[in-house]
Amino acid sequence: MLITSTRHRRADLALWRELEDADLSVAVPETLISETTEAIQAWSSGGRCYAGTSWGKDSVVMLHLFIMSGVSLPTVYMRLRGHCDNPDCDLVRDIFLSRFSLDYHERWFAPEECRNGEHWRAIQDEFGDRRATGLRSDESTNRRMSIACLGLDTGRSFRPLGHWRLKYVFAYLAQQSLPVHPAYACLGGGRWPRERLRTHSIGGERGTEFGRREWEQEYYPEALRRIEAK
Amino acid sequence: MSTPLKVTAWLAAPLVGDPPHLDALCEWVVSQYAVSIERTLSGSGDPLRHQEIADCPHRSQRAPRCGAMPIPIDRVKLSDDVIVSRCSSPLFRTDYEYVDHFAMRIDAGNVGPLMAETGPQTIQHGSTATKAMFRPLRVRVVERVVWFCVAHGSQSGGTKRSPQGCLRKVLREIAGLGKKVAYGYGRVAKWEVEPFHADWSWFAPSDAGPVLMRALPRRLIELPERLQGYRESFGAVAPPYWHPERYMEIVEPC
Repeated sequence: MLITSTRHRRADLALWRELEDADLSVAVPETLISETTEAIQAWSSGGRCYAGTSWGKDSVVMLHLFIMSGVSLPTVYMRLRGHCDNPDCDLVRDIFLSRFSLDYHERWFAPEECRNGEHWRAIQDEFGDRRATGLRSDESTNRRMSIACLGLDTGRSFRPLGHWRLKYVFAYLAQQSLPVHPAYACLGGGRWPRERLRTHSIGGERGTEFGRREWEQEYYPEALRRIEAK
Repeated sequence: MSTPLKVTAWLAAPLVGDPPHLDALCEWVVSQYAVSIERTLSGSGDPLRHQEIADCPHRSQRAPRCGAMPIPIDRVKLSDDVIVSRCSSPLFRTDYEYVDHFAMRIDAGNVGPLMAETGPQTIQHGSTATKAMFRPLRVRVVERVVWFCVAHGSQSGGTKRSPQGCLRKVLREIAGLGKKVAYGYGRVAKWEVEPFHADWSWFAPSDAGPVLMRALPRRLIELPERLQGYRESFGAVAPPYWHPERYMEIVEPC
C-alpha cells in the first residue's frame, strides 16, 4: 500500500501501479517465511536485544515478521538532527503504529555522533548490544559475503531478511498491504530503478552513488535546501 | 508603462536539468554588463566590488542585495529584504524524457608523462579531485519554454525603448538554457516576446480557482481563496535562487 505524496508525478504513480500488479503475482515461498520466523523466535530468546528500523521497505517487512512470530522487543528508530531525516518516514511510522502495537522508541543524534559511532554505544547501553536489522544479502557483495560466511546471526547483528530477494520484499509488502514509503515510487517515470532508492538520511556525503544526489535534488529539493541553510 | 508579456524560448536541442527563472536570466545578463561598466568607471577597480555586483560565484559568500540589478521585469517589494519579480516560473511540456550520463575518468596512460619528474604516482579513481564520476543527467525533449511576466520600458537620453524591446535586448545574450549548455544541450533557437492580454505572472485563472504560477513567500503573501496547484516548500523567491541566504518558507507550483 503505497503512501502517495505530492512528490509523485502522474508517470510515477502509473508505473508504480504496474509494478505493484507484478508484485501481487509473485509468490513468496512459504519456506522462506517459516524459516525467517523460526530464526526470529530463536534469536529473540537469547537475551536483551532490539530491532532497528529506518521505516524503509526491509524494516517494515522485518517488523511485520517479528509481529507475526509473536515476538515483542523494543523497536528503535535512530534519527538525525538538522533536517537530515527523510521527512516521509514519519508517514510510514504513523500508519504502521496505527495498525500494529510495538514497543517503539525514537532516539535523536547529531550527524557528528554517527561518524564516530557514539550513536551505537548510546543505543547499546539502553537496549542491549544485540540488534536486528533489515540487511539483505542481495543488497551488496559485502553483505552477501558476510551472510554467507557468518550466517544470519553474527552475535551482535541479526539479519532475519538475509536470504530474502528484493522481489519477495516488495511482494510481501503488496500482499500484506503494509505501508510503503513514498520514496519507492519516486521513479522519475522509470529513470530511477526502485531497488536503488533509499529512505534514510538526506544529503549525506556518504552513499551518493547510483545518482542518489541527483535523485534527492529531483524529489527532495526542499530537504536539501533546509540542510544548506543551516 | 508596464505591460504583460509572454516570453517563449524555442529550443533547438534537448534540455538538461530544469530551465531557469526569467528574472534570474535577466539579472545574470545585466550583471555581466554591470561589472564591465564598474571596471570602466573605476579603472582597474576593486575585485570585491566587482564580485558584489556580479552574480555570487560561491554559496559561502554573501548574496547580493535583493533587487540590486536593474532588469526590465517589474518587481514587488514585500518586505525590506524580499523583492519578488512579476514573472512566472518556466512552463514547458516534455515530449520525451531519457537519461544521459556525464562521465569522467582520468586515464593513467595519458597522464604518465606529466608525472615524469615526480616519479610514479597513484591516481585515486575512488576519491579526491581525481575521483571518477558517472552522473546521470535528466534529459527532456522540450519544444519551447514559456514565461509570463510584466515588464517595463526604458528611456535614456533621447532613446525610448518598449518593454518588449528591453526584454529582447537582454534575452538575446542567452544562447542556452539548463545544464551542460557547453555540450550543446538546451540550445535556444529563437526568443519570442509578445504582448499578452492579462497578467499571469503570479496567478493564472482557471475554472477551479486561481493557479499559482511561481514561488512566493508563505508568510508575506495572502494567498487567494481556492488556490490550485501549489505546495508548501522551502526555497528562494528571488535570484540567485540557489543561494542559501535567499531560502525561506515558500509556496511553489506543483
